[in-house]
Amino acid sequence: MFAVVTGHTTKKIDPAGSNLDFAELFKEYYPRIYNYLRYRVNPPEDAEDLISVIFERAYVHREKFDPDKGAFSTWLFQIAHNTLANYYRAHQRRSVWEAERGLPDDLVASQPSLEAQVIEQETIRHLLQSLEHLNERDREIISLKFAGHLGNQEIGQIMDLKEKTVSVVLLRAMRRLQRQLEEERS
Amino acid sequence: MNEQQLADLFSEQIDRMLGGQPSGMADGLEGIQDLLTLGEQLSQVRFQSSPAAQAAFQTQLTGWFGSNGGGLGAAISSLPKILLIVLGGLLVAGGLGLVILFGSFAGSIFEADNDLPGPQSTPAPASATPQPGDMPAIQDPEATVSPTSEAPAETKPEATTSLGDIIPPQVTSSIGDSLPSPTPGAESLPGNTADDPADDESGNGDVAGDDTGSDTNGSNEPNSDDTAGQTDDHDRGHGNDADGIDEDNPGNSGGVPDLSGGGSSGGGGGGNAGGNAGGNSGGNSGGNSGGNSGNNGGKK
Repeated sequence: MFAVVTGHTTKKIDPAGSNLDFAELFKEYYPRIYNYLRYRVNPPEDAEDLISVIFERAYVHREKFDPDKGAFSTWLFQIAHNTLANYYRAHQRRSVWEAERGLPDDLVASQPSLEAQVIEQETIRHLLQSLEHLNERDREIISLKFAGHLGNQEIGQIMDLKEKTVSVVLLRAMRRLQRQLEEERS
Repeated sequence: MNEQQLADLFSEQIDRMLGGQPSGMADGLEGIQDLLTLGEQLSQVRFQSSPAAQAAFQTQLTGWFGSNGGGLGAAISSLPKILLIVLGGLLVAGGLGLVILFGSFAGSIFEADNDLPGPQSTPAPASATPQPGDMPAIQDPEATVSPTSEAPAETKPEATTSLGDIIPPQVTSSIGDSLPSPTPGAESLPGNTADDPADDESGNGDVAGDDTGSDTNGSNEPNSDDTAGQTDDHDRGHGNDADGIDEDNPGNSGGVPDLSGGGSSGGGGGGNAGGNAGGNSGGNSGGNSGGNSGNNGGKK
């Protein structure tokens, strides 16, 4: 038995029954991986294709996962990060949130009332459009933090940064995003 | 508070918020309160994949880990190795047994097929039986050659008939030696050119007795005409042959050739004297030479 840190929780994995645990881990991480991809990829069909590729790679290379070297979330998001980089390299384009007039269908509303939903969706649309104006590293670190719900140490392992550096980079990225939002509103 | 400290505080507050815990009260939060609010808005952005994509992912998981999300794979992987080896051995033994059983069954069927006279074995002798019967019919030289040997026999009467309408057959050669061919079509007939050695001399026909394959009939058998050319009266009986009979001028016959030409009398008259003299000389020389050449060709 060994412990695997999955985001903010810790799971115990039995090596003899690792197949069953991998299946459960895949199910648990599927929404977070998809959310992370949707922060970076539009339209949603591309994100669905990418997530299929990501979990297939994770399944094929599941024997390479070493809990002593890092958390499962770090390992899986590392695969997602590399797959996304390959996707951008192959397509030679960035996400097209800026050209999006309406809101995507796969956006989950968190507000109960219709009026609150409209305000929330409008805010989200501005957020996504402003996010497009940031540089690659800022967008990646914000996506990993708020869509992937990863800790700074995990983000540092994925982006090859120190944990302290991740904190500063994240703070600066949030400031740039806020300035971009103010410019959008003004 | 420097930037690093502020960044660490901000990250701490964000992690608490993402973990569902209320943000704590700490110094310096005033400067980053707007950023925390922005972070809260970002954390509320949630996307959900389509039901089709979720079903496809579930199918993917089922294919990888089994129907129960890896239940079969986990069950197999948790089996003791000895049990797996025993199961594998049983499977191999069962497979070999099936192969042997199938082989013996197929062998018995094959043997049964060989014992019984099947429908395919019956036609084999039947097809073999006519072959010996057919072979003599094919290899019989008489059966093959007889049509070709009869062909000249059939063509000869035609030539004779075509010439016979104008001139009797015996007179054809003597007239043909001194006069042009009465009917150009008669010389073009194969039977006519092959029969008359005089035509051979003039080069219009094939060489008499030429059995080397130039025969127009295409048969290797000697023509009946060639045989006749060797035994018959080649000079048409101008009195020079052994019988001493001049068939062209029966009045001169008598066993002694009339070399002077003046002895001719009767039907032929004086008109035939010079004609016979020239005709005999030319006819004998041409006829003998043609006959000799025909004999030589036949000997070859």
